[in-house]
Amino acid sequence: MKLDKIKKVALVILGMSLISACGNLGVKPWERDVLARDDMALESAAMDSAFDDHIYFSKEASSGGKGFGGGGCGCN
Amino acid sequence: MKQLYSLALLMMLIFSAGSHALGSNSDQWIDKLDLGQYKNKVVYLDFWASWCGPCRKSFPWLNSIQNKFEDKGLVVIGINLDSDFENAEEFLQSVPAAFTLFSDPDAKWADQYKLIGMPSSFVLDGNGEIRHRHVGFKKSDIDAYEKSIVSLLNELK
Amino acid sequence: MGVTNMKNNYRNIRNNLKTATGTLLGAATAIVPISSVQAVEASSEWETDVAVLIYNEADRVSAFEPAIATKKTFDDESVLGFKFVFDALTGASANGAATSDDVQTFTRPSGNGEYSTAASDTPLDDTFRDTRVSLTANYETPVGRLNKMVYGANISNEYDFLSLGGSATYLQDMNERNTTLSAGMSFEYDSIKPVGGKPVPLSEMKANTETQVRDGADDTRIMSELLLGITQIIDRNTLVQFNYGFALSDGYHNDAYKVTSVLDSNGDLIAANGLNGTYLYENRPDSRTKHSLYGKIKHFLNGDVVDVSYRYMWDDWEVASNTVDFHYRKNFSNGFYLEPHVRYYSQEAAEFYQYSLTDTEATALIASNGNLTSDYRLGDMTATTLGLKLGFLTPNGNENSVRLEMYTQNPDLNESVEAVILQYNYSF
Repeated sequence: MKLDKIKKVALVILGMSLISACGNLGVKPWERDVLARDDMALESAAMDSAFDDHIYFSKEASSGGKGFGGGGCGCN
Repeated sequence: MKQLYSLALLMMLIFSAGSHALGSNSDQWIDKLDLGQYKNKVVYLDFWASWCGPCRKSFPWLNSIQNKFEDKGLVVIGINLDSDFENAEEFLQSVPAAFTLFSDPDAKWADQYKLIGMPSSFVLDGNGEIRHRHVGFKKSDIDAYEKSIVSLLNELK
Repeated sequence: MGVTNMKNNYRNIRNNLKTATGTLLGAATAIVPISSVQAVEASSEWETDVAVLIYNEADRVSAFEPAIATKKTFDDESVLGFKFVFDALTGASANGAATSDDVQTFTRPSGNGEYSTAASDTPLDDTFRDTRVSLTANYETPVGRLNKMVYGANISNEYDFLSLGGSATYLQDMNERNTTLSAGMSFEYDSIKPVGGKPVPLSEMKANTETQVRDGADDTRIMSELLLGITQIIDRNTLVQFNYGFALSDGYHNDAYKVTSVLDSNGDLIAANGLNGTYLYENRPDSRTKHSLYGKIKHFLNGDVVDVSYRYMWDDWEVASNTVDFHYRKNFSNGFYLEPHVRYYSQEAAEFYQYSLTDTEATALIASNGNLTSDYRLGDMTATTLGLKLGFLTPNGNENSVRLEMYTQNPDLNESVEAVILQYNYSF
């Protein structure tokens, strides 16, 4: 069980370092037309995400991980 | 005939200034960009694209400097980097440009000028040398931008 | 017709006009700044989103949540935002006790009055009623061209709970802005004031005619979290994000309204304290250390947007969970879109979760002051969400969207819970 978790962590760290090592990934400054779209923003539906985070926070044992939202609740 | 044409166009430009037609009706697009033809002019090259927020913000100012310093020898050239020209057209409907425009869909000029952000601006002196450059557009920096233009205009004989 | 052709045609028209315009450019420029300045100023106003969410569980909790968020981007690219959420909750929620073949009676949290649960029904406390008000402020400010700080502050208040929080995040762009590294810290201070006071952990629930000894009126909890992230642009249509989160929480973690059934060796109720069953108030650890790994991919696919994310979370309560989230935004013309959403969640129970205890187990647990909860939210569980969102523009170009989702929880040992979520958004 513990070993499983360590493996998962190692895998993600490996993935992250691979990505940062690849300096040739990415686009030129003038090639951001698609990435500049509202629907391509990482948080393209902030209202929805905040509501969802609140619902799942109060109904499940896990929360967070995406970013910092505001205000927990006394429900969990 | 020519005069009639001109008059009609002038009327069109005047009456469309507040609406949406201006951007797509003026003859600003040049087919070939040859900086050599601007000897003894100060050239302000502005690389822009329709999807770039600060570019939108910069256009009224670009219009105003074109207007203000044209007589003194300033040429503003907006190099559009939209790969889809329609997007540039659409942009100009809501944000009109009153300066020369050039379409660089394959980003040959952008590559050559090694842009690091959008918009990117280069001010070229009367000899075609790049003397100033800046990335982005902030209203609070307008004075500095204008100062750099004026100093180069003053160098022109 | 190809774009290039259009462009060429366009240029031809322009060339015809060429001679005419040469002399007119000056005249045109004199007019332009006025109209275009107006256009720019209009776009730098406050941008506001309003939304209303209705959350409704069959026979259980209902929530009505209006929210308003507004933000303004300044000339220096700093952004100031505020958000206000109101939340009215009513309905019943599971109190943790096991279902029984007999009718069960429980004392209300306030100690005044009681409620009963029919045989073989999930015991639900129907006194649940609360109003939450939450205010959030955010400020994003550039440091240099490639880095910025984001600050957040929030206050959230409900009848039995007050939360104050703050966060600061540093973001650094690199590799021609194709990589963004972020590091953030957040703190939260919670003050918990349960209705009727704090129950003594592992003490037995008493009938409302008897005296329930309490462990004070209120308590606090402090949480801090570290979040490290990397966002990488892969190509013109794809970006990925990875986060690692580490959260520490110290203080009162109990849900004061949750109990565990103590049953005899036949699984039957043991009458005690004036009630026909024996129920122990829960006892969660007073600290929790959580880790999370989060990954997200956004990909632009022929005009549509695919958004897939995954989160693995584990903590020292031995809760471990997997969350997979999938959105597909199908874009049509004029800002109209349809967005199906699927979410799958599974969690492993906290090591101190028990559906119920036997008499002997309870005695041993009390003797060792062990941890205990029967809150199904800390038990083994899977949950699925299926949703559809529909977005469209009003004639004046403002964005609207409506989403309808079905959220189903399937706890291993408890009754499943089904909820319907309906939300409307309007941006202007």
